Amino acid sequence: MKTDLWKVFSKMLILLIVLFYLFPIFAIALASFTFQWNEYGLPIKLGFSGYKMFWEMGEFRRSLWTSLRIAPLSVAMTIIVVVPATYAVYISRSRLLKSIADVIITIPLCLPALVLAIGLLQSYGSKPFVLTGTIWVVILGHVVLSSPFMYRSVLANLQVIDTKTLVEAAKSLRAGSLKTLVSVVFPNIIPGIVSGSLLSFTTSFGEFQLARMVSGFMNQTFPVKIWEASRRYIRVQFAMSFIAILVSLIFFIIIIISLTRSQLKEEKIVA
Amino acid sequence: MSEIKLENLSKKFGNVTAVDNVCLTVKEGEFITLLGPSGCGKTTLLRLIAGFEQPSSGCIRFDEAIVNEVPVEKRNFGMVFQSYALFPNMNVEKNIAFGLKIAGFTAGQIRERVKEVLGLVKLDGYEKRVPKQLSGGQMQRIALVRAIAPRPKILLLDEPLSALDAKIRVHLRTEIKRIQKKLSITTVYVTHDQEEALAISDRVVVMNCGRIQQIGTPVQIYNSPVNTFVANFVGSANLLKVRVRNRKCLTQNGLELAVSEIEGLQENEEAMLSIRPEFINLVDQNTTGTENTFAGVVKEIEYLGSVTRVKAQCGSESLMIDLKGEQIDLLPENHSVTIQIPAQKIKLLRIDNTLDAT
Repeated sequence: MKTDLWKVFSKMLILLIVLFYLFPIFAIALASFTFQWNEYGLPIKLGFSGYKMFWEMGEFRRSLWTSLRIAPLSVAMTIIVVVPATYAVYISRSRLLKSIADVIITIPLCLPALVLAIGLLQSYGSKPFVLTGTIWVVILGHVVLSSPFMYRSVLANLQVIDTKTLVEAAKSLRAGSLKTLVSVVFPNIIPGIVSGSLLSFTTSFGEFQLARMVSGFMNQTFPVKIWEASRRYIRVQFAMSFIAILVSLIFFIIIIISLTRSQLKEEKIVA
Repeated sequence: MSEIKLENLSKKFGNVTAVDNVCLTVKEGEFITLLGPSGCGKTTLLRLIAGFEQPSSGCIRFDEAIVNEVPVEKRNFGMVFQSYALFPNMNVEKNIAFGLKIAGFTAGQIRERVKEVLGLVKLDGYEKRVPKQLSGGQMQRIALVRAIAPRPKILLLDEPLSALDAKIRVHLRTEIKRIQKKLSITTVYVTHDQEEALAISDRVVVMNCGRIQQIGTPVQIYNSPVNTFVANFVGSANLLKVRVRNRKCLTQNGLELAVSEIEGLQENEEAMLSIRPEFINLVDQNTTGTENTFAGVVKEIEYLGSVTRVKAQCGSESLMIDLKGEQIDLLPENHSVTIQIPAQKIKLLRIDNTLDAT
């Protein structure tokens, strides 16, 4: 009897926690389709006016495209910069280099994005590197902010599959360095790169502080515009928030499906 | 097939000497095992041969040619790792084909060779499996044939069986030996398991503290250890400090033992007496008077299946005695027994202070 009660209790608890996380999302979804509210903040008339306004006001619509360009480019750049660096750190025998790399790559996690933004403005705001006002300065900032995630997940992946021994095995089979990298190292760290990319994408797509500081007028990102909408167009704000949730969700689902599909392919071979 | 020659080979990591002035020749087609406790330098020595580590001094020759500067991928050997190191992104066929493709086999030859080597370890039909779907034993067999498929001249194995269950370990070591013999490939095998080393090697190299302690056939290593470390590490041994008196040995506690071999030792010189536990007998009370019989008391009994290890107190000396299964019934603890140590089974070892017996 006692254990039954405990089971019920723990199930309730889990349900409560799930609700705690889902409630704000549900609230946004509902609000985004609401035209009129009563005095308790509950909808009395539903409608698509928020979405309609979002679509009709070019500045908001454009900001979605800006963010949808910036996020994948940030992910791509993060992969290009961080993955080789992570591999170099992993393969290095110098403990000093490892600890220095660990510290440097973790700095963005401890630093307010605002501070980084000021740094970027100072570095790329004057000649010879004038990047301010373009999307590239935002991308640079986002690469820095998402580097720790990529670094950690790729490094963990390298360690889990014992890449050092795999590389030695490839060399003992007379593979050169390039062949080893392309056929052995890279294919086996794809899961780490994918989960790093997922975090990079959401970091970039949802980042506000830095984008607000450096993006300029022409390339304001989606979160920046959500903030603006929140001060002027309440309905647009809800619509945009729900769009943000959908974009992240879609991206997440695509990744999950592509990962499970590659696993299914393996399992099919047995059957 | 190839001969490996190590000349005065040393490897230092910082101020730690992992391999200390090693000289060793592995003959063509020979199966050599490097045996020693962890940290003795055996794996470093293997990695020096492979080229994963650079020697601090000395030289490595494959068939007389010095290979110190030759990169790993040009040395032409096959290697098997403790962690299998199968490529997780490739199925069995592709794992084996990896080295074959680099070695210049054509697609047709690759298919044929993959089939052939899988047959060698009785895993026919496993081509399309991925490593995840294989047991540890199967993975290691695939790793073994992946290493030998391109017909390398040398095979290196780094504790290949350490991660496997006891049963599979015994089964697989026989298989490794059988394949090695069939191909007569020069083989260097690293293990810390003395039974494994004795079972499969042509010669065993016992190492400790980066140095070679003894090189010999398994029979030589077991029956004629050259020092206390080897005596203790390979099999188990009762070691008693003795002093030579009148061509007999006197222990510190006054037991007097007759020995058959005493040459090389001066009167009054100290030595270490070694006797394997399985050579000591328990005899009838009334046989006292024959050579090397002593009264003792049973202190501990450890049942090990095929043998029973008895710890007996003999004066103030404690002796390990291994008895065959049927003899144990007579032995309650604290029972008085008569111990007989055959003189011809006693080995006298020089005391070497630089070597720690573990």
